Amino acid sequence: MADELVLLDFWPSPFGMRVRIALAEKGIKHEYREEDLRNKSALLLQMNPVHKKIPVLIHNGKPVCESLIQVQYIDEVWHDQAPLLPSDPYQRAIARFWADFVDKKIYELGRKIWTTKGEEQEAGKKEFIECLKLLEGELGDKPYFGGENLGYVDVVLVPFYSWFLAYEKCGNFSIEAECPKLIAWAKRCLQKESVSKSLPDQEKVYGFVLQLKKIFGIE
Amino acid sequence: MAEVKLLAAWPSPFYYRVVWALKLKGIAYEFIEEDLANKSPLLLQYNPVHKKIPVLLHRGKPICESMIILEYIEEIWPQNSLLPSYPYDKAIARFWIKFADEKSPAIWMVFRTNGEEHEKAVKDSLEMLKTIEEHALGEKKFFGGDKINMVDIAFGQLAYWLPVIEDVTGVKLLEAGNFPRLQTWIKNFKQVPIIKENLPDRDEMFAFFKRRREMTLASK
Repeated sequence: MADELVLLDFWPSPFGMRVRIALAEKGIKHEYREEDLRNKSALLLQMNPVHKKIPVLIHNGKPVCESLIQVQYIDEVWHDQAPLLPSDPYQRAIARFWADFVDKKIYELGRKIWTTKGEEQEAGKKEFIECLKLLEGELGDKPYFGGENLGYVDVVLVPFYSWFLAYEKCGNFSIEAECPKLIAWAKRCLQKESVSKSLPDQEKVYGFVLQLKKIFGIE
Repeated sequence: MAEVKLLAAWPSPFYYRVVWALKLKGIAYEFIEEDLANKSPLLLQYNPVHKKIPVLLHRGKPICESMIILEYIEEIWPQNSLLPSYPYDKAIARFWIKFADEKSPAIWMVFRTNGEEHEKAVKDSLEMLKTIEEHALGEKKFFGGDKINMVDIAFGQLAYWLPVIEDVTGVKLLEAGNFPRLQTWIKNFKQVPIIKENLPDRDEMFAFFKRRREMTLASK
């Protein structure tokens, strides 16, 4: 029996992008369904009743929610192709630590940058850059966080690159000026088809953010 | 030299999560007490990013963040398994572990605040408890089924720290809502021998948190 996989997603979601990349890295056939978050489908509400959020990965009718959990699930089920998590338990703990760090910091700080102004925005920008610099430190001289190949942390972090232009324009700063190594890493990731096909264009995301600002009355 | 060391501080519920996991698997460890008001160079060296406890040291190498520590412990010492082996069931367990970590801070906000912030924290806490009651437990004795597993450990704060918060603040969250499944789980969880034998002293905890709340509110 062939596996049936459906991904409920929303094109600008960095969390959805993580799952897209993982599925693409492993060449897993699936159906992509775009959700309208202002009009959530009955399927979404049924499959994720607790959070009602995307992405939701539905595998043979059974839902898996939360992007980090989905990526680990994909890695465990399709363990023979393109492994994302290291095989060594200690290295796995390190990878989980940095994925957790990205989850705790990058989304919220990025959000602060495009939704606030003045002192609050400045504080957000400062902390955002500090976090990126910590990640640069962890990357070191490796081509990817996963070493020679794309790994778990790469998949978790690189989606935010599609939001960098939006952050820069709203925050009036240059991420590349502060974190050139990280930008170089992101561009390296984008040379992989699994990443380039999963990330929307930065200009498109910026357009989306401008629309959101209008809707929510944020200057 | 102990192979496993645990840098932690009483009465952190995150410290106890690691203790329970180590004890359930019969792993010996050395406890290194941290004074959180005066963090040691050791802690700052081993957890430079967050500077928090607990930190597990295994053969000198640090692992930070309690649930990441627990996944590591599970992989290194697979006896008395704390996670399902089937990937889908594991994903469900991890979902509830994440839920516990994301939503439990609300009970600490109840403890730490007053006024509007406090009201919101009470509302958030009740919502969390309702979700657990309706979606997480089902008809099982424990989240792990007949035996406790990592999900039970992740929710451990609700069994023992929440009642202390209720006593200190006077806000009775567990009674306010209708949570029969959760109340039963709390009773059963505290009866599990390893848990029962490894809980902080109730009276000491009450005194400690009562003092902390007074100090926190006075500084507002």
